[in-house]
Amino acid sequence: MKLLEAHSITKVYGALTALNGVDLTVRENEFHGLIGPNGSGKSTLLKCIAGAELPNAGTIGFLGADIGRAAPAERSRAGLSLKFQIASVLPELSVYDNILLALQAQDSLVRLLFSGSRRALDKQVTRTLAQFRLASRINDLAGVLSHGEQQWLEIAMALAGNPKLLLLDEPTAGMSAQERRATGELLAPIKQICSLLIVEHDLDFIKDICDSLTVLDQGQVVASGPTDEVQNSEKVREAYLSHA
Amino acid sequence: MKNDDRSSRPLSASRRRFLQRTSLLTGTIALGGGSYLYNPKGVWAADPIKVGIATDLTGAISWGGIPNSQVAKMVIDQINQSGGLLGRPLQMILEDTATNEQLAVTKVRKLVTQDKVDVVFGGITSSMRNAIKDTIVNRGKTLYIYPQLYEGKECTPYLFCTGPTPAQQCDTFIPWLIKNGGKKFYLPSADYVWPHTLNAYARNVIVKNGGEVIGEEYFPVDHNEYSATVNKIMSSGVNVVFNTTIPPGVAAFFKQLNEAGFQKKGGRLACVYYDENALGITPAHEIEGLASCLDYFKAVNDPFGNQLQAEYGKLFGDKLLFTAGSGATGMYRGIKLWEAAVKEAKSVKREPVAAALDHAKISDGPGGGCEMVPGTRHVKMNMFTAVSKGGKYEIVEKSNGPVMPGECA
Amino acid sequence: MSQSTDLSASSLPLRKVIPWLELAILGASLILPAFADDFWTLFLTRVFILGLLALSFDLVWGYAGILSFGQALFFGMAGYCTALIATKLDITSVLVLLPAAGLVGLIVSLILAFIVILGRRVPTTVFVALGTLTGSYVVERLARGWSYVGGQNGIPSLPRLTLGSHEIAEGVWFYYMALGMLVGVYVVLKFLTRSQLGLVLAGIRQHETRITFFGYRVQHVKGIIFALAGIIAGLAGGMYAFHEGYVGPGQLSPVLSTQVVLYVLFGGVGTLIGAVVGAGVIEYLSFMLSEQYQRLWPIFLGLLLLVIIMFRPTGLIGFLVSSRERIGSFGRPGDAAPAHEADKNPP
Repeated sequence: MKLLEAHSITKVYGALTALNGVDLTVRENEFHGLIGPNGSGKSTLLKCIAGAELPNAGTIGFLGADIGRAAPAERSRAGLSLKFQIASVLPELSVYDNILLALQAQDSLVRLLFSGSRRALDKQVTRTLAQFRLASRINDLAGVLSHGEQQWLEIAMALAGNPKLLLLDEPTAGMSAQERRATGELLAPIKQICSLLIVEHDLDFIKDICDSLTVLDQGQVVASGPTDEVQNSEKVREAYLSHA
Repeated sequence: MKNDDRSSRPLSASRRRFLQRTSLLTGTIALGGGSYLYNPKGVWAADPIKVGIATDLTGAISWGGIPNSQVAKMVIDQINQSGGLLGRPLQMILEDTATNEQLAVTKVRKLVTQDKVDVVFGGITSSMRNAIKDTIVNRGKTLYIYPQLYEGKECTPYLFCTGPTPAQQCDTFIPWLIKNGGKKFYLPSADYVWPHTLNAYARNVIVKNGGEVIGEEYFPVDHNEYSATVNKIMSSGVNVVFNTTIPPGVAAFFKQLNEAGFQKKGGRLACVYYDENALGITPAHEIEGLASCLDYFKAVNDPFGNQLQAEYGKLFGDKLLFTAGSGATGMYRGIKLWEAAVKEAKSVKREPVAAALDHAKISDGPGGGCEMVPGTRHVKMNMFTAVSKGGKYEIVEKSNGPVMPGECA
Repeated sequence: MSQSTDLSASSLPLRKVIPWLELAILGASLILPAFADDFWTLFLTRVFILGLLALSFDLVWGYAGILSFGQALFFGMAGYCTALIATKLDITSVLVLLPAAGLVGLIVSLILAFIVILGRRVPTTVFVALGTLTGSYVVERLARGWSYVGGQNGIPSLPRLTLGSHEIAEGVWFYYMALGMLVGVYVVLKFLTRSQLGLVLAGIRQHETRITFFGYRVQHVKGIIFALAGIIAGLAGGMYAFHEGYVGPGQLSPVLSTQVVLYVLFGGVGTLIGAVVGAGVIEYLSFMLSEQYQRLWPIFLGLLLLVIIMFRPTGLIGFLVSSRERIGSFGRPGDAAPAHEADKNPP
């Protein structure tokens, strides 16, 4: 079942064409990688899908509905969640409060005012923290976490609303090999409940966890399909080599 | 801050001596940088009558507030030197209203609630008067005397006004202007209450005397581009420019008007708030022939006024002069009229004093004596028309006896 | 104008200072009229009302990150409207006028919110500051020029507020009424800022754009908070006019709006009690300094404010309260998890 269908996405910044007629499809229970050399438009595409940018042309369908013009908050409520490239945890709040903030987002304002879900969400917060190996940091301010821990917290927050599709923008950037391995382990189990569209530079990481790949070069799709096929494609190798 | 000064209990001998020494000191220091409480010099048997002075010592209106406070100090000292009032000395409590209405209310509240003064003199701008009058008169149940020239229509009970009103500034002045300028008037004005109300009154007097108002325009007080107005004035044969623009815009206006040749072509510039302090705003040649109408000018040269000027100059120098535009003459008048009323009522309680003040008169003052018009709480006084020649005022007309204020009839 | 935080104090506070401070101030305020003379009772009543105005600013800036230089606009407009009702329609009942004041604050703040704050794009802090400042400036200019509302002179000699046939004179009665309103609003704001909604506000002021991606309709929240602050400022404005006995253009001017900003910055932004303390301390210092130093007092006051804001950006409260306590935690009802000592060092 198709979860996300992006057709002919074009995004222009002045003289620079970042995306030129890009198509992308993500299915249910699929981990889809988005790779390509620097400046190929990967992040831009992700931002258009998440709602951080509006494309100049093209349509974006999510679960059958057109979300091309929807605000980020609406896309989030529809089941689309974004983890930012730069860790955007809330540094002055505790780890607990960061997760709570993410979890309570669907509450109405009145419910929030009367703290209706505080007790109910407590278990969920602790469970999430445990799942993402942050249990020991529960009361620390998010600003003092290590870089890797902040990335995990971000992923945890992005998953908090039980999204159907999680968009990850370079989740392992700046991580050590150990942390990267841990990230892969953290992500693997969520395939039952959530699809992933992940932008990454680390090809090994992508190969390990993704079922399918889309390769972008200079704003256009060069190859798209199951990971094995795409990996061995000539075009892909050329694209990477020419930008070496 | 000397906390023991604030009590109204009879003073012990040692305290009196202490106060005597310190007040001698404060009496000789010019106002500023010292205590706000001016104690009577010498030894007195009875406790003082408290006089509250609330005026703008800082802020945009300090040019008026400082002379006001200085005159008050001078007059109160004079009264004390001649034996006080009802055998009691006057104690002056000065508060700075800082050209800030909100701060002023708290200061005035202190005067009536904490210091419990027997009378308040003060306020210069109408907005200040309106801000503080309720606290003094209604809530503080205290007498309030307002000394400055203003737009009239202040009829609050227990509030007495001792400065000139539009009637006093126009009734004799405008006929003179028509005779010594011409029939065609233009009214360039600052955009706030006083000019609007004054112009309305002036217009009636102009028309009644056969004159004509060619134009009436309002500008923000800091406006400095008047070429359109000046052109209109020059091209429609206006004889008299009855100006109520005020600083800072007035300097630009007078300069542009002068440069267009208004005075050279025989035009007359008139401005009723222009006193000796204002003469310095622009170079003398730009205001040559400017006519003003106030309750006093130094050039009136009356012996009483001259003596006051000399004493004032000795005490306070010549930086901020004793003039009518700053309300200093109104302050003098107000305190002396109040003194007369207290003497008649033999009390400082509000009711009897207000009743006596209603018809109080003084025979001497700057520009002559004056008298309250019963039932109106306004003063009838002599008015003088003066013309600026070479940067100095020359009196050209004196009113034929006191002019009626025409308010609250 | 960022709000600084000392992240090195990352463990839970051992002891909360603010509740003690609140209790002390409340206690002192309740019994003060018995000991102070009339003047100080009146002085403090005015401080309570200005403190209420300061709370409205702390709510929008300290909690929702909206740098509004227009709080005096709601304050002054409510003052003018209630003054007009009282003088033209002869209605002086406090049960009509105070709700009317709040309503005026609500309506004007919603209008200003639509113009300056809401919209598709998130406005920058500077834009909001300038926009609200302009609003305040424009309305003051209009009020100064409109003779129906008295122009520069404003509307003087306002009657007293009444409750039934009884007049609420300034003095003890008004003191307790103002204190009651201040405490009531304070409690409501405390409840709000400690609730889960308060957590959303913390998110908005730290990273507004990011939390829209969780699904928060941030514009709605900001609009509601701004409107609530407008109501509070309006209530304060209504009380102020009748306590001082007049309403003038100075009560909706940018000067007063800026004064309010100073009260809160000086006292300690984002703590609620800081706003009240700041208002009280600055008003007291203004008064005492102007009594002592006739010509120079504005300079002294300005220097003092400058020094505090430069060296203690967290304000007076910052001397007593850790940043951790200021921001607070919104988590478990029990809130008793021990601090993890070993991980205190930043990476």
